[in-house]
Amino acid sequence: MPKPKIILRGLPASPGIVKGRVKIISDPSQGSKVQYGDILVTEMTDPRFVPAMGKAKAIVTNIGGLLCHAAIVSREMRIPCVTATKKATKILKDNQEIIVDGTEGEIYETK
Amino acid sequence: MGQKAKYMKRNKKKTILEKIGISNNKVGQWKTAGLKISYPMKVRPHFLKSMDGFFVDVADRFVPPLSKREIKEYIKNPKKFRMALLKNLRFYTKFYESLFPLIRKTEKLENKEKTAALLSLLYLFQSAMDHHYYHYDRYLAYENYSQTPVGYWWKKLKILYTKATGERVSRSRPSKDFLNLLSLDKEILGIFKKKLSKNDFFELEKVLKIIKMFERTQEDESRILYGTHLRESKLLMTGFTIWNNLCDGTKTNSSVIKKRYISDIKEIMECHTIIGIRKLLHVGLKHFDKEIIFEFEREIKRWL
Repeated sequence: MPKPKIILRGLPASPGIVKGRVKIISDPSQGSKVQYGDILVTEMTDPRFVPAMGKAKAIVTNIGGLLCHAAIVSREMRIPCVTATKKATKILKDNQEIIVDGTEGEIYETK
Repeated sequence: MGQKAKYMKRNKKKTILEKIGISNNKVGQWKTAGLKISYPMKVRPHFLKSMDGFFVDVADRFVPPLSKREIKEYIKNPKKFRMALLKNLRFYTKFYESLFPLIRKTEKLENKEKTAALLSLLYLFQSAMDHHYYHYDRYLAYENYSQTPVGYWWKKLKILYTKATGERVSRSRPSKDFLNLLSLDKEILGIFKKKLSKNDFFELEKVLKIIKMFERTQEDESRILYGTHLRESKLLMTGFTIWNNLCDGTKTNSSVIKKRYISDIKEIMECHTIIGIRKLLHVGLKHFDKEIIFEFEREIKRWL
């Protein structure tokens, strides 16, 4: 079986591996776009994103570190999180199926 | 002298924000309450870099650093750091909320005066942010600097982690066990309890508790600034509205900018808002019309 291709790298911020569909939100008011089991992709998060984060299976952000809001909340929610990818919101597309590896800080495409 | 002439003469002496209701008395009250504003905006020579790439240029470079005394005190007493941060944040919130209604009042000023007033509001908004928000907040992200309050405890955590596992903690690829330890995972804590001496494990629990407090502080801080519901954040609304009005005013009346710098200002105004604001206040001010800068500096002087 071919190894999935890495499409993005960032900082591993909360461990775990999951597969899901990308939902890019640029503003917390778009939070309803995220359905249970989606992967939330955004520039950075703040508490207004929490309702959407609660539905997400994993979180990927463009900026941040181990101490950013997304990392802290993901570790609390026990869902994978990769921060500091720099360009997740540009490279990933809405509804694209990806694998998020929060332990290695890598994002793979599924086919 | 007629009534109108008298009014004009009196008004001419007023600074730009005085014209829309900010008296010297009001400025004095803010200063007495502890408001800090500095001018000009300077890049710090030895600034600390956070891992949040974006914030290195817009915040880290400009943040007024904690003093040696503050650092020493906050390392010893992290709770004091939390209290100082939250107190300053609440103060800053009050301040920028007081700026918001003034934006509308700038409408009654003529073009150049309006630009000077909006520039003054933007400067006060950003400089107060540097002194009362970033001054503490940026330190929450400096886990890689052991001489800072957060970094000091992070270093301790890393040392204890290495003691238990024999592995160093990578900056770019922290291990699964390290991430689980940060999540206070019971299984990992059980393993660490077996691997560390009683004293070291006690120390680990203390360190994790302090790190959790820093994390909680960051969450509280965002809650104060942005709220917990999906309502608009007053912080962003204030900053973005001043910025948007300034950009609109400049687009419709380019005479507020010195001719040779029109394209430079246009370029700055096309940046991401947070980057644009910083660039404009740091390097873009001198591109505005001389009269505007004279009024702007006259206003800012009142706040120093």
